[in-house]
Amino acid sequence: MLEALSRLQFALTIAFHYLFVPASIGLVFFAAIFETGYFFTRKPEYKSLSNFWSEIFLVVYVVGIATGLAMPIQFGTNWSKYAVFMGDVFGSPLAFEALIAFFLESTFAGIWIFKRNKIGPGLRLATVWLIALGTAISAVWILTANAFMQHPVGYELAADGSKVLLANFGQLVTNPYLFWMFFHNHGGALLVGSFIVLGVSAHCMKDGPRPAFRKSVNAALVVGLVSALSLPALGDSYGKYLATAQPLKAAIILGQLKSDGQGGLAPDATSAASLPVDLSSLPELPNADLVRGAFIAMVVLGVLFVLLMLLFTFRRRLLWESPFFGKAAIWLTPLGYLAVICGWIVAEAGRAPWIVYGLMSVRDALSSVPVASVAFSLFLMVALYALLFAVALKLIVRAVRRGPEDVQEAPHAAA
Amino acid sequence: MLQHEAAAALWYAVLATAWIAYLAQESFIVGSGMLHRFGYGPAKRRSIQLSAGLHYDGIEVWLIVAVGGTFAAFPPVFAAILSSLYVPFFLLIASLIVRAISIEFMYKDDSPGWRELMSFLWALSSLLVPFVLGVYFANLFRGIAVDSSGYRGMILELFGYAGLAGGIFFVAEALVAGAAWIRLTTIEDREGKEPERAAPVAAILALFALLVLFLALNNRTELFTGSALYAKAPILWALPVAAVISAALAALAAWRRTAAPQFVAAAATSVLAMASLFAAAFPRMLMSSTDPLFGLDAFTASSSQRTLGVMTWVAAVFIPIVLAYQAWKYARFRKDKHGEA
Repeated sequence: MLEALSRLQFALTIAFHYLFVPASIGLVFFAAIFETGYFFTRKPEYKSLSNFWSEIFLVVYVVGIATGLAMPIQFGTNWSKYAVFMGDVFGSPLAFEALIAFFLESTFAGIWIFKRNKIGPGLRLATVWLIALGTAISAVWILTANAFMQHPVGYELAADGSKVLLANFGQLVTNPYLFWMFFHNHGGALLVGSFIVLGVSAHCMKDGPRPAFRKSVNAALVVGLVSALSLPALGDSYGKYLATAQPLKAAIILGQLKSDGQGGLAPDATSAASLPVDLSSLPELPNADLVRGAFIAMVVLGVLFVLLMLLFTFRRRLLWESPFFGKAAIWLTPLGYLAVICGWIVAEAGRAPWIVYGLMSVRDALSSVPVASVAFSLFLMVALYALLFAVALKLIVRAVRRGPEDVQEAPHAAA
Repeated sequence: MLQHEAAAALWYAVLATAWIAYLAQESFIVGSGMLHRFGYGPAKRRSIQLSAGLHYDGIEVWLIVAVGGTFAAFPPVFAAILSSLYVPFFLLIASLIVRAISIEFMYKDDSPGWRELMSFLWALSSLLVPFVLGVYFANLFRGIAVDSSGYRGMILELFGYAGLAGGIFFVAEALVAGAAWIRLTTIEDREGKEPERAAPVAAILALFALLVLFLALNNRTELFTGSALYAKAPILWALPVAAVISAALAALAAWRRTAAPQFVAAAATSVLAMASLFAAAFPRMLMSSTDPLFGLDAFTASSSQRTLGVMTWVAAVFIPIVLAYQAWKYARFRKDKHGEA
């Protein structure tokens, strides 16, 4: 019960937090693009666009930051044996993420949210790019921590076996797993950001084209097409690497190992490949149907995204002239999220039973806390997050309805 | 490279400093959050939200650095404290989440009902954050009921007179600092009733709660009289004494309605009080009230010398950079009387 509740709580809080992370990374990048356009041309329509996408960014950023607070503390509250065993290696990437990335993001996001219309173009430009830089640095450090859980490197076991110790910090930050994850993950975030911009723009042009949204569509299609094309290419190499780093996960993805219907795994009859690992040594096996299903869904969606981005790039008018494709552009956002979540299911559920691959199982990582405490916190977080979701949705819809400031009517406030 | 013991002591000091930087700055943010809905006119309310909203998020990262740094530098301490004080930590996180949402989204909808709800939630969460933190630190420095198999206490035990004194001290000092921050950084209020005039009452309450807290802590764990560091360097006794004097000066400044001295004295009280406690506790990081055997100290619970060495390099480079841009931000917007855009 304790394990089930703690796992459920971590899964729910991380999945909910992660709804807001790719949108923040993506949207601040678009705000930065338009702000750069404004800085060099001083055309007020670029400033208006930067402000418009920033209003939506603001909502997802705030909810992302707020829900992010619940993540690191769970390593202590719910996974304290993990914290003791892994802290020497795993703790510092989290601390560095706060010191190097969170300070940068938060300090300048405060300026961006509360002061962007009271500062000059130079400071505006610096501020929005520093936030974008902060989100990228943040991703590097949290993925350094996750890559260690996926593929531990640069560590040694303490003499008494009670914990791992940092052996080589250089290896920790040059973990090949980190390299693949970062580009795959950041590409996915930029793609989701492009989908949001594309979907909102299509929705706002359902009664006819509007110049501001056509500019947004142009930017979203460039970023979106590059991301959509690079993701399968990157993913292919990522998969080949995976076969060496996590052979069990790779075998499940490729269908070489399938669920035998009784909680175990069996080699696929048609596959000639031999078993990559000794399954009998594992305390628990990954859910092969879930992992393979999520992988296939991600790949199918990825192909769909490439096709649609190509179509929209060459037939832009479809977005505002065809009600069907206008709707399809709006649906890209939830489908993009679905693909991202499927990717994370493959990454996380696919490495079961390990919390750190080959070193510690999830079961061994739990705190010994009263079940009632975990039930309380789970209830608290679910109730709070349900409200947060409603609030975020309401405010995003409101920002979209208001639309960008109409620059024809506004005086040239380009100071 | 630093010797292991010296590195552990250094990181104890760095994390204590991060906590102090967080608590001192958070006090005027939550203070203005608690005060903003009592008697001010609408324009002034908006001004308070703008001045607190500009800074709160960057300040909160000091908390994440303090907690995350404990995870990295003292993993067993992080694990033991958070799993022992499980419910209080979730209450703190929930309060911080509600605070972030209410302060940021209050003016994102024009309906009066929405603004009233967000204003209420901002004030409530601004009360809960310092109260939970005060109760937490009082219990941390007083010792918590841990043994070999984890926490053995009851949640209600945390709210003994020491815990309550800690909670009240943090809340009252935040009101004093917040009242001064409002006077210093926001527009003049032509319609309101200046609720910050209640600051002298809060300041006297803070002074009283601080004295009770100091006595309660020394009474149970001999925090000061049994302190290794205080015995070695008696000059450290100046810290708790200065904290009490500073709290008294804050009350005097509040009485005379001089905002800048009130702000400085309130912030100094938070800094000195926490510094005196962290110094007195050193090297003890978790004191067990059931058996001292189960406590944890900075020397035996620290990460490896290699980890602490890497952390020291990274901190030495980035903490000055962070301090520089955060100081620049305060200076850059210091003269703004945050009005409506």
